[in-house]
Amino acid sequence: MKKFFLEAGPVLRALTRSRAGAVLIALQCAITLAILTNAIFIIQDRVRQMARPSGVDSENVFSMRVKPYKPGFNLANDIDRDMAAIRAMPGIVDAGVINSLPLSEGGSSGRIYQSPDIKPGDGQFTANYYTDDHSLGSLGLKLVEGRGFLPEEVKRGDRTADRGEASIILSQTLAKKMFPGGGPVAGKTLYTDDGTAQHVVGVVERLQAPWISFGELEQAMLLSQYRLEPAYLVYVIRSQPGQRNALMPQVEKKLQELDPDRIIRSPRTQSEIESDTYASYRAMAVILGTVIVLIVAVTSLGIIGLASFNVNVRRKQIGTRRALGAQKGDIIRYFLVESWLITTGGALVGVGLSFALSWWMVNTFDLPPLDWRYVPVGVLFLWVLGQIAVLAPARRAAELPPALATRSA
Amino acid sequence: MLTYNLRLAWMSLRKHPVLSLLMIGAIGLGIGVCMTTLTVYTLMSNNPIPHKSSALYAVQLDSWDPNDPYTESGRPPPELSYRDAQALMESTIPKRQAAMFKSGFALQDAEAKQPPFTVLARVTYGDFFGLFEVPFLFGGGWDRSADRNAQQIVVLSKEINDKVFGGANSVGKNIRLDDREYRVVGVMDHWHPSPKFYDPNNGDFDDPEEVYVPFGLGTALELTSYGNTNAWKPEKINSFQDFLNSEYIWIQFWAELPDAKTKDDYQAYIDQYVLEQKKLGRFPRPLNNRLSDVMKWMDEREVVTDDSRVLVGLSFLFLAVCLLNIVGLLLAKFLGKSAEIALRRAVGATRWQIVQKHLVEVGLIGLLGGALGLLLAFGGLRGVKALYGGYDHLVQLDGRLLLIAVGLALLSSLAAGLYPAWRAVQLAPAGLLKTQ
Repeated sequence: MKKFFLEAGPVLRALTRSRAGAVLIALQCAITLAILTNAIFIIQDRVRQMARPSGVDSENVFSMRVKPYKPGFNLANDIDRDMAAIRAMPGIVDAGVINSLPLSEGGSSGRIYQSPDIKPGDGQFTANYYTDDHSLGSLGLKLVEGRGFLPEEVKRGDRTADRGEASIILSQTLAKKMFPGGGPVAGKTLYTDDGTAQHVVGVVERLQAPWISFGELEQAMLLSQYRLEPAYLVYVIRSQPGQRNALMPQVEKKLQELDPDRIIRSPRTQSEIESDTYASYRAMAVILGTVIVLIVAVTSLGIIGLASFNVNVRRKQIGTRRALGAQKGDIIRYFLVESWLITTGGALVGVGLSFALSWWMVNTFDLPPLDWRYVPVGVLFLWVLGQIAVLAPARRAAELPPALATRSA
Repeated sequence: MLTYNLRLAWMSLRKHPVLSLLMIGAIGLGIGVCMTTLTVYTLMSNNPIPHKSSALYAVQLDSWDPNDPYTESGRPPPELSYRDAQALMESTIPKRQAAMFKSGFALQDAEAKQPPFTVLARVTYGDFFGLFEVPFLFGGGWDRSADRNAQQIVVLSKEINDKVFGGANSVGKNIRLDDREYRVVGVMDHWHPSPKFYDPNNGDFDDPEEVYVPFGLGTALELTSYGNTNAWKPEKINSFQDFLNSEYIWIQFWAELPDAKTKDDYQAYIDQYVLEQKKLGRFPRPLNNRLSDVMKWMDEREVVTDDSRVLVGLSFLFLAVCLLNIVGLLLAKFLGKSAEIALRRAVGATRWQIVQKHLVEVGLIGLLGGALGLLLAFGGLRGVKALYGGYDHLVQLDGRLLLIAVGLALLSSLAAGLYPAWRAVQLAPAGLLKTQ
């Protein structure tokens, strides 16, 4: 190792004689580092966001919508009949109705307040899920405090039905925001927009909002009331583990049999809904990943190319060094040191470029600033890449016979 | 001379196949990545109605919360309340105007022989079709009287007409929507504005709706909006009429204002309307009514995603790396040919001729790389389509992009070749000839 650095001086002096090639590679390394650090940072950020659990038992939950088309249908009776039939099917854990699903990109939201005396700027943003007493079971939510809704708490009706006083179940994040002092939350009262009291009966570990672009993704609540209007209702069903895919078409068929005068539409698994919602995140990660692989390949080929060219140009010099007693290891080391110097030069510029690129992206777009720790890791990667890329041409150089020195050209 | 240079260039490429392939590959990758991201970007920033986009205005009234603007930057809400939309429709200033919202039906043939299926519907005024220059195969839209009388008439998209009537002229025939009979008055030709600019709800690249019915039906049948319905103040809504009278915003509104004077008149008109409403205790915010033409509207809605811009930026940096790579390789290659250059110079070739010869070679590399890049972009776009899903109409290469690709490949390769070619002719021929 000591030899490695001792040699840096002469190698550097030699490099300054034929700058162009080295400068080109160093510049390549610099841009590569900037792209690498920023791209990996964005990928990590997206992967981290995609990994956040929705709170729903996504692997076993599926949903479908029902659209009756004959005027004069009685939705309340239909729902009761449908739910009883679905819950009676073997393999079904629970089924219920809800206005929308976490991460489905459509739904309802509002603010919730500690007191009925609402002042501007008060309260917390929350996603509102209007649902029934089967919501915990049908979504597979994990209760951490209190209880689920009781059948007698559920209110339903026309357009006023989702506006009145009801029981609510909060996500833990929302509960902590509303009651920062801690202590039991169940039994307390909160207020929706028009000062309507809402009674907290429970807290679930996790319940995400329908929209990933919202800052308050983890703030949501269930309300024990819903509007009897087909466009606002989803049937949500949870199966025993592993039975979801088999049960989904069976439920669809069952619902159609119960009443042929309606359309059963959009049967979807919750995993599918979540995966579709995150499609653009995944796409970004995959595209950036591809760009990273390509850029690493191009830069390595560049280093190999320059080293090979240098080996050819320096055949005579290498032969002379060998003839004067240099070992094969010395020749290899020369190329390794040279590559290390070039990548280091590139890395120095690249560190600045990485932050500059991040600065541009933070200022132009709504992206978080680059975590600085990605930069040293990137530099380390660049060094290793430079050493590995140059190894093959260096080996070839070391194999050149010393006798070359005596021959011309 | 060019053919001679081209032949030499081809020979030179054949002589060092690995090096040539490396360079072509590098250009190809750079162009491929750039064209993939650039295609997605240009299609996102596409003008959906080019010859008319500056005459079509989305109308925004700031009816929002006095304490909390609709957006942090102070933009008014993107949609109107029902009562304001109704009031604005009374204006005679715009050449055409339409309030609208999205809804849906179960559609069935008139005899109810086939099972019904769900369709998306646009509930709007007859001006919609003229406003957005919707092409018709058969029939047409409807007039103002149908708007108001809530007639059960419908315009079908080409796709629905193909599905239900096998593509035949269905004007005058009936279909059932939610079990009510509607008479077909028009069948649209293929119409797919991309982005779908007229409605800020749901996907920016969604298909247009499948059926179109008069706005009056929306209230007569109490149709539900499939888009967002937003409110800022508590209101007791006990009936559909309460909802229509409320401050809830859920209606899109477009006006055609062909010249600056009409636009100014209309701006004055909507401001005057809001000032009058203020007297009634509505519109608590300062006056902030906006008319945005199509491209400004697209810009405000951020149809072009930040991700897409980031990718374009990064891919051009990637192209820069590929070019640096090629400069390095060319430098090595051209300097390696010093002896040949010296010989050519000695027998009378000027420096410029030699630079030309090298540039032809580089241009050839660029063209081959560009062709490879197009292939890669084609594959890349298929990948993007698969990754995002639902960008079907969005993701395709057109003639303009083909030209950009070839131009970019040529230009960038020539730029990359300039320095190495210049370096190569700087060497004095005499010294090099002696060592031979």
